Amino acid sequence: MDDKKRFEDCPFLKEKKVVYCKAYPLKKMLPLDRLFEDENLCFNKSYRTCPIYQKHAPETMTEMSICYFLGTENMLYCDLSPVKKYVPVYSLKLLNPCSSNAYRDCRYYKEFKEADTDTEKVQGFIMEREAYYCSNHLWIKRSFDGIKIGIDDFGQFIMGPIKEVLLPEKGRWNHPKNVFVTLKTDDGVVILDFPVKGYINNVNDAVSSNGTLINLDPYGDGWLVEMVPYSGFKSIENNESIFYGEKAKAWLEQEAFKLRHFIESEIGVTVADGGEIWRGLRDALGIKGNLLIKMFFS
Amino acid sequence: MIIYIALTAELEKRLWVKEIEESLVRDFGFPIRKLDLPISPESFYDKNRRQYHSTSILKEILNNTPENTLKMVGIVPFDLFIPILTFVFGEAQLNGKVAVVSTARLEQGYYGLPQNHLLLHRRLIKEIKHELGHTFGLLHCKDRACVMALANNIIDVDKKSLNFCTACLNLLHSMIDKIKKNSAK
Repeated sequence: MDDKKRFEDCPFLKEKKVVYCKAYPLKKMLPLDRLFEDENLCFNKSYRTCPIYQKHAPETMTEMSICYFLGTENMLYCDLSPVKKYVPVYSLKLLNPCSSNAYRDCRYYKEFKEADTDTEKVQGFIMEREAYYCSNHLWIKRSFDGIKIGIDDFGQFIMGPIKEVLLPEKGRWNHPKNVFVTLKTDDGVVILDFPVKGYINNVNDAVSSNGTLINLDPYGDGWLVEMVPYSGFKSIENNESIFYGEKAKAWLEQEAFKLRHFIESEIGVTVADGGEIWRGLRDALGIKGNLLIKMFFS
Repeated sequence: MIIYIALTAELEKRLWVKEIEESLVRDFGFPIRKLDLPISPESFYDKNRRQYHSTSILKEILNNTPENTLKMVGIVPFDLFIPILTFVFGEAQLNGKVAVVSTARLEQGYYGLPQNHLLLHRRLIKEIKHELGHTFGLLHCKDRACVMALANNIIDVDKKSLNFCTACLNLLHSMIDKIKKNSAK
């Protein structure tokens, strides 16, 4: 593994040079940048007064400017973890979440991402605070000269891996009852209508050729179209079937409840306090995937 | 009418049950009693998830409530899940009788940190109050400091206080009054 490759991985994987005494029975590592070399006897000729040196040094040892037993090593550590645990650089040659894309599933990394004030989680599903949400799981955000539209995290989760995407034509006017996007998945076809009347001035060609972008980054690279709403942004703000802020959170919470009750028969309504959406859920559901699509998109 | 706290024998030895009881009496105003948790966890273990299914445990607790039960909270040491979520700190019947809380992810040891008994109890009392709040009909509160705020992780648990916000407290008191009036009839 070359150095360049290693640091392209988890951004919080840091390297530090540590020093330790090779003669001392315990390998106690001290970060080099935390030591005052002038005051530390290992780094000047006073090392000869050290009892450990005197015990282990052969009588014929030639005088050196620093202690012969002073060892150095490059170590890696997680900058997010509350406890700094040093791991030798060579150990990352083994399969390791920090040096692969798996770091995105790391607890510390996820907690750091969640601290991002632009997004929050509702029953495990990501919501962007600045976005407006339609009941068919489209999100709408302001863009430079109009609005940007995409599919929300819940919507992409229900659909599963998206295989094909058919987007509307650029440079045309559309009405709310026109077909906005057709998405083909392993569990069926999802057809979504336009949320508002408007003029399409841009479509995301990258998504047309690679539908999984919607699954991977629903609020970013997975956006679908940019358009200019006919009645300006007010038509979105004043639309009662488009949710924002606390209303959007309450709506998504209801959708998550619907999902839970579909999956398991309950003892009345139960409420849980805890983690995030289990991404293995769709696989565990097996044939129920198509029923999920029917439930949320028909 | 009694609020029962049902614990496994192992947890009973480790936890300061009296302190928990005192804290709950202050908020809910009903007598609190300790009980042995009447379940065997093996049947609720999911081999794929390597966790215990919370809703099934809840059902089992519901089937084992004494006659004079107003509410019953089961406290378990193992990691709980519901199919939709990676884990749960607890689960409760909304406006119902039973709740369950797990201590597994409330322990500092779970996060690779030295054990802190005081912090564990603080977190546990918050989660018990939260789940009991649900059984009295309270929903998740948007006030992040209110004990009824939703917690997705342990940082969220630590951020919220041990107390109900004014709105939730008023709602809780009105629910308690209603129950007391109905039982007096």
